[in-house]
Amino acid sequence: MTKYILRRLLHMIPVMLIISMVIFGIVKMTPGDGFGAGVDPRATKESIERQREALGLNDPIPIQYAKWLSRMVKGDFGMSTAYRKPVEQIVPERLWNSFILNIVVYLAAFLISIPIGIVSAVKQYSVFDSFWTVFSIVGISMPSFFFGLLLIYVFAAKLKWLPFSGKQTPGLNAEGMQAFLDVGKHLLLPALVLTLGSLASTVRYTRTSMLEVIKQDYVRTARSKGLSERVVVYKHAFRNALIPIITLIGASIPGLFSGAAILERTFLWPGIGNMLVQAVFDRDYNLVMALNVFFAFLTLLGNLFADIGYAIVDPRVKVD
Amino acid sequence: MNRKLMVVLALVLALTFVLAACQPADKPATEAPGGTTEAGGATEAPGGDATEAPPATGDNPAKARANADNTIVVGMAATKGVFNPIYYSTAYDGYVVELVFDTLFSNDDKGEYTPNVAKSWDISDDNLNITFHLRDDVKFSDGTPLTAKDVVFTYQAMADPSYTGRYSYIVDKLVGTDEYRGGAAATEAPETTEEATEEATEPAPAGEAPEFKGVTMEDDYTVTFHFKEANATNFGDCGMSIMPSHYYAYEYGDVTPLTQLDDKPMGSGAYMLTEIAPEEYVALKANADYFLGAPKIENMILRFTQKDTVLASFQSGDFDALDSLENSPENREVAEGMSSFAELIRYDNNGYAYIGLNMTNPSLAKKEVRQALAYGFDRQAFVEDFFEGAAVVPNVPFARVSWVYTDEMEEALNKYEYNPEKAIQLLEEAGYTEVDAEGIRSDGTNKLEFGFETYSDTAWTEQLVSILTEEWKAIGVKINENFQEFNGMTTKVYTDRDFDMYTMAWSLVIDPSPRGIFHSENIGPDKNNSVQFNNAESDRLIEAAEATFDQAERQKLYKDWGVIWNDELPYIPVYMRENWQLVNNRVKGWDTSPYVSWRNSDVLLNLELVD
Repeated sequence: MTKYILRRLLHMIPVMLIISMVIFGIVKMTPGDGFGAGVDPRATKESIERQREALGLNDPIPIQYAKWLSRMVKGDFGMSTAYRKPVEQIVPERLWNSFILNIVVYLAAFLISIPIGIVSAVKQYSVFDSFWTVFSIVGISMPSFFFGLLLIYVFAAKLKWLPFSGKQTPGLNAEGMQAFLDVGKHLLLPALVLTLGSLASTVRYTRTSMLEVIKQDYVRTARSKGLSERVVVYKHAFRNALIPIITLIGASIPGLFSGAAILERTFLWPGIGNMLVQAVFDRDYNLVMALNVFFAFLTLLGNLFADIGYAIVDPRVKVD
Repeated sequence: MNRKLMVVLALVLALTFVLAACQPADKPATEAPGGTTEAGGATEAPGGDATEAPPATGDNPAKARANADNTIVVGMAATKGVFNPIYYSTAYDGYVVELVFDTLFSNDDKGEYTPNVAKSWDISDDNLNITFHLRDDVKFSDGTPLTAKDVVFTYQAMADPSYTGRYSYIVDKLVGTDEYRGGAAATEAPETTEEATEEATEPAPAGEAPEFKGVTMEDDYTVTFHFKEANATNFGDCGMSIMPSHYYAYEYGDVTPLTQLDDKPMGSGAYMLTEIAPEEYVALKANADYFLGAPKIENMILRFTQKDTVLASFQSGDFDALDSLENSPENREVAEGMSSFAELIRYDNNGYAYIGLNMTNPSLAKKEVRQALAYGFDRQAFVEDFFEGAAVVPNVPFARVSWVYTDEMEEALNKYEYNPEKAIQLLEEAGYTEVDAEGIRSDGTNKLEFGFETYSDTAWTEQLVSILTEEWKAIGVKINENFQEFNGMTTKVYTDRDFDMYTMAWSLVIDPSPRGIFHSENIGPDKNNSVQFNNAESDRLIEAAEATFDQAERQKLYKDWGVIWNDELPYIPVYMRENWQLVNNRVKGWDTSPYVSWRNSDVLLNLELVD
């Protein structure tokens, strides 16, 4: 197993290189570098040129890539041009904010949806199943910003129970328990929107994979040898039904950090998703690159975790 | 099975109903608090004496907020956190800089400069040197006095070879900057080759600093700016926010230490920064020792807004004032519904939106074609329909609020009122007599079919394009619109200059000089004369108007220039809109106007919260 993990980690190096090259190319090929004229009628060509030169934007793209790579390998992600700070200084705080929101959402979504999915499968076509089927379809189809605005309208504008936006009450300077509750109050609505969104897909996944397993011969065998329904479902069937769910959990790992740009914008949650979108508009190359490479790395890592997870739940999967 | 299907259908129906019932979510603020729109509507005159009796419609929502008694919350767009006078680049970072730092001079509501840190100034007879006499009672918030040394320091930092911010064009105008940078003179030759520029920007090795001659200190409270050329716009460039030299100290050739204090700005301004919550808000505290007297409101929070929910949030009392409310009939309706406790403040924006016409295009190079396009587009109807009275149609690239915009100028301008017959007549005179099957005119070689570069995500460009397509079709002109992201379009228009027509807007500064945008010296990649307007008489007038410091004389010259511009029409100006701010009645003294923002000390120091 250790050998397998090591080998997979080594495989990640060339993959990461190729990914970074592709991202760098795409980012650099987008027209505009944020220093064109037309921003300040008094700016001169010389002052614009001086800024470009200082950032190395006049080098050919492969040389820019080489410079970026050699810096990145040393752990220097460069300066963000919009924030004028090293990328590693501004990213962690937003990353942490996105993580707080997402961890709540994922825990809630998986803890609620897996049991629902199992029951839906076991009691296929029951009212319970139909309800969650409809719920899932609505949940998947509803855009998060719309649902977000809906909740804001009800809970913030009308009932005035919860705040409109942000992560904390401005000027409160709360500490300890009070700060925790304050953040919790602000977190509730965005977390609810995201949970409902991901609840839907996880319920569907669990239900489908459970249904497939339940119809297999060995489940019938287990039933016919007199095992209780509980043991059949939770011990024999569920374990096998877990495999696609593990894929889903693995694929969710980058999502834990990447944040939901649209939702963060709706709720002004100070997370990484909104920052990345803004960085793309600002042509903040170092920031865009650092974040994308980081997300690519997390995706690969998520895949690796999923593969290891398979090996643990399914003895047929051999990793060596 | 059938029964189950029914259940599912019933559920679907039920959910659809719930969704339909909640439809108005994207206009969350159409109702007044407590639903008493009618009662609250007209009873209270805005700005009336609501100080005594509480509003009839109930409590003012903003008063219920915690800390409401000594804290003002201003809603605005997000800052980037570059709170550094010589490095910031977004307008909103600039707000914080304005609050925390001071400038030599301020301005009044007519756009005239008024004393601030400098109590007076003289301009030398050759108009090259401006000397400022500073007050001796200005202190930075750590108690250190502000002296001429700090003014010199601020400009010296911008001239440093390692300075990479966007304001280097200001020190380029000062004597000796190139020598100070330690490079060859890069700014003199208009056609700088790429290599020359590279050499010039190569940072000089750190070490002995050459003498900085651009800004000199005469004594502790006297400072002189030395300009290379006499130009009426120079004065405005002396107005950078003054940084304390002892706090932002750095070595020649490496301004890095100075840039590391972006989060901890220290100046002499009316407020001091106390807290930064990235992407959420910035908190400030009044400077009790401010040289013009302490602000009356102790705490100020600049809270960032989300445009879909900002009005509902304002209505719930989260804000005392909104720095900028999008100018739209829908927003006005909502804001007016809050008139029992808030006032919508409206005044002209110092800027305009336009359609740029590339004068190197063989058809657009002809004046008749450009004028025909203006006659063939009903600007009045477009602006009236889109803004419903909150914008006007400009005919010259000057703001109506500027001293430069006189009645004589107004009278002398061609208004280009909608007249498609006249447009067709002009096109025929210019030789565009052939009409093809599609209805597009041509003069035998060039068809009147143009690419139209525009940007997405704003309602006005979308509406503009659909109206232009229709109205210009009637005069035989076709446009092919290309919606794109703003930054990419900037490169296409200003760097590559690869366009026929485009639409954008300019935001202007107090000095009205059109040099940067319309002088022929600014034709070239990355320069601002993107339409390549090249007119000798126009150039001469622009230069003459900058060479004199006499405002009446400038007014006359700009009038002549405006008439030429209006006839030549390199741009079709589209609208000049109003700026809107929404202010809760509990805030008194919010007397903003086009040139006087709420950060101007005339307003800021008089702001007051009343019960």
